[in-house]
Amino acid sequence: MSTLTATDPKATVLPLLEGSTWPGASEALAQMHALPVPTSKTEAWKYTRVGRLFSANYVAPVASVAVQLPTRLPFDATRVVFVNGHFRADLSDDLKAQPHVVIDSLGSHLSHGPVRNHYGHITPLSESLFSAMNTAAPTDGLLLLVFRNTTVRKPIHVLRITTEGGQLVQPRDLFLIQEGAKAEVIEEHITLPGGATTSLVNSLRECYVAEGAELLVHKLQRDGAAHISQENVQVDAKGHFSISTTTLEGSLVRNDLNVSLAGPGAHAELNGIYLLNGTTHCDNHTYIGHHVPDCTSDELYKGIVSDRATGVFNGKVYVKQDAQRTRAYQSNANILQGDHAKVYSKPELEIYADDVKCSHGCTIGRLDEKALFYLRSRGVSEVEARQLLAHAFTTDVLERIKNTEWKEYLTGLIDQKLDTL
Amino acid sequence: MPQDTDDILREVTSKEYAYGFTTNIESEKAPKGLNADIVRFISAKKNEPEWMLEWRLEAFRIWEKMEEPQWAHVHYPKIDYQNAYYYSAPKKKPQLNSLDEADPELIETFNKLGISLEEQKRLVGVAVDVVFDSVSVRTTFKETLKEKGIIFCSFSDAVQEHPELVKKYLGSVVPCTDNFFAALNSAVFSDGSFCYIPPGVRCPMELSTYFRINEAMTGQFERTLLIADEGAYVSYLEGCTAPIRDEHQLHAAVVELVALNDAEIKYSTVQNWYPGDKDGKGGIYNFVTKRGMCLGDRSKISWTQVETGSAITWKYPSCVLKGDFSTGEFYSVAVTNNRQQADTGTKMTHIGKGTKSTIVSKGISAGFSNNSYRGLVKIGRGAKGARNFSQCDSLLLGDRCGAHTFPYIESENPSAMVEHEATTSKIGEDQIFYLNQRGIETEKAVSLIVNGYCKEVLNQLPMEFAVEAQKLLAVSLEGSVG
Repeated sequence: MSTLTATDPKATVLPLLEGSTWPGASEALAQMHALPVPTSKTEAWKYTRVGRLFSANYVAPVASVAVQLPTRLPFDATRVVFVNGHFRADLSDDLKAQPHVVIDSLGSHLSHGPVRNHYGHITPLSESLFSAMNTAAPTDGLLLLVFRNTTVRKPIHVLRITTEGGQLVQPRDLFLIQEGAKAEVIEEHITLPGGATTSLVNSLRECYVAEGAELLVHKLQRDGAAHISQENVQVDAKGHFSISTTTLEGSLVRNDLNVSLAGPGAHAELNGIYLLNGTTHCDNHTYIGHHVPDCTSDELYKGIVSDRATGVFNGKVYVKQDAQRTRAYQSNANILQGDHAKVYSKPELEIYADDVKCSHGCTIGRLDEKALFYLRSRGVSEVEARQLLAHAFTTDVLERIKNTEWKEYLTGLIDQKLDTL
Repeated sequence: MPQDTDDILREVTSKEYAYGFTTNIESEKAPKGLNADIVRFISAKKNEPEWMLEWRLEAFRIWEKMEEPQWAHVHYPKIDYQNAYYYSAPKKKPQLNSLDEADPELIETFNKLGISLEEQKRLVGVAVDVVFDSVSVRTTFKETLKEKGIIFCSFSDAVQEHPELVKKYLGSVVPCTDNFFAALNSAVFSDGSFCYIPPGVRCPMELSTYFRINEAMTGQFERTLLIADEGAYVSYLEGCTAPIRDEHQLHAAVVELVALNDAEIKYSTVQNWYPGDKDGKGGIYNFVTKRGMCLGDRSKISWTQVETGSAITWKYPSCVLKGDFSTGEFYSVAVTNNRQQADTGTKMTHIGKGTKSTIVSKGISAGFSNNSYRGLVKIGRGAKGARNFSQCDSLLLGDRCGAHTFPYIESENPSAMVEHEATTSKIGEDQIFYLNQRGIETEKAVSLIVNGYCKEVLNQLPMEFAVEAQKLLAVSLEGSVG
């Protein structure tokens, strides 16, 4: 490749992407060569600098390491474990317990019909450097295939562990939820103590939610690594997609969430909580495309940003011509504490149909002084009062989580984190 | 109901531009195209001092290196900047004391526009600095203003008579390097208005300028500089109509406002330039840079705009809130119909402590038009206790138009409070039905609803202007049905 010169900032990662046999890998690699590294002049990356991610030297993800697994979730779930992006059957639960449900390594099913028919179809390569990078050499990932009218009995707990620093890990998932099927996935990113903070996790997931199907995803990011994550979702008629993204740790976190409502009556619910301190930089980019009439979307992102952390939110609602009777609601609220914390928010509406009800709201502020005073006057200490109010601030996002067991567990984690803010 | 809806929509969308006509006044033009010599020609024509020419040439050099911005949500064929005239002036420049001496054709034009100077003078008491094409031909009420020490004159006169003020403030708010169109304007601006309010003076009347693009294929480059010294107050009105032309016309104006300690500037605009016909042929390209600098503590700048015209509007009246406890306001109604495109909004840059800003933007789109709000609220590190409230609403009339909102909100101070909300919807069938059922016909009902929708902004306009603004809204959208 002639474009690969000494000055190409991508030179640090390109050698790691060579030779993958995944579908579309070579085209993606060529694309990867062609695309520039986004700068602050690139609109989609205006507030998030990724240049430094390419200045480090990475190694390919380490495959077989012995790992001490953390304690299980306090409720019944099917655990699937990925270590440094590699599927670990030895550490995972029995994944074949339920008929009509496939939970397995995506890498081992690439030649199978449903995978061939869907893999890479809703991820346009041309736009994003990171999706090209992922497609060029995925590490491995989860295939979740739920057959027609099947309800997955237990939530699937996807545990992704990064064991050491300096790796380039590229998880690649494909979720196919067929007509009338239902599934719930809890995805948790953790790093092992000992610091894997210098790793780069560049993940990409494609989800197809077929007619009348339902997919719930809970994403919990508490790894110290740099994390670029992209989620491309297509929801067909009367399908329901719901995701809640909770970001508690990370050096640089970027979540791209692209949801296309492709059939009448489709619904998407996007929730997010980000509690940032230290120098964490968290950027949530959401795009909801209302491409057909009668779809609804509801989006609520709330964050507390303290110390030297930066919170970025960019939410776009796009309503295509003739996508009548669209209802779209979007809200982003931020609490800024600490003199060096920053919040950049850009809620966008782009609307080409008239019979719509779309709104967005955005606030940036601090904890209500009056409420603090009220609590103080009742003898609550300042620290406690602040924690109480911060807890209350996150509550309306948590309340939207229907799985009460998970909600309880997550609330515990959030309260722990709030104590440190 | 649907029958009605269709009829009225058709009627509204086919409404012709009511103020289109052409005045034939011989005019003097610079040769087509743009180069350093044209800049020198313009400067020489206006008999400008050396420093002014140097300033223009510097701006021209900057412009040459710049690229036309592409980020706005508007589409238009590439502009050939070498295929336009950059200077034209009515040949006769009458020095008049009464209207009788004026060119009868000119008076006729103003009468058609409904801005008869006489009527204005007698009834409203507004001083009108009429900018006809690019050169001021008439200034009234100068005497009254002079008594108060207020300087209100054409920009060219200011360059000659008050060079110290012009030198000090020109480009201080919108530097030549600011953007492509500001650089272009700085190089070739023809004329405009200059206003200086001395310390502690409250301008006794609304100052007003009527802009008018008259010569075919003439780009017009207005330059306005308005300075309110300490404790001064001024309300400035700007209104526009333009005749029908088939050729696209470029208008790249620059408006700079400076408010010193405790000063207040209220700047109101009604813009109704030719929007092109219903197929999008013709119309004005309105690429304007307007910015106010709240330089002093407790100063205030308020922008109010009613934008109904132009084929393309690219306009972001902004406030830089530098002084502590200064205030910025932006009230806007933008109406687009047929193939019009508007990308408009504001920037509020909070730098000083305790600065406050309010943004109220109402967009109305009909026909095949696209109407975007684009805004930035930036709270700097030092803007302790800053406060912003933004409200951006869009109303859609018709299923082929678009309404978009692109707000940027940046906060770097934990004590600041920023709120933004936006809604997009159409006029509810139930609202129309309710009014119908009370005996109000659909057309009037829509007008009522639209007027109510815009009221918050229209209320900000000075009385004299509110009437014209309502008239324009009526012409643009009367009877539209959602």
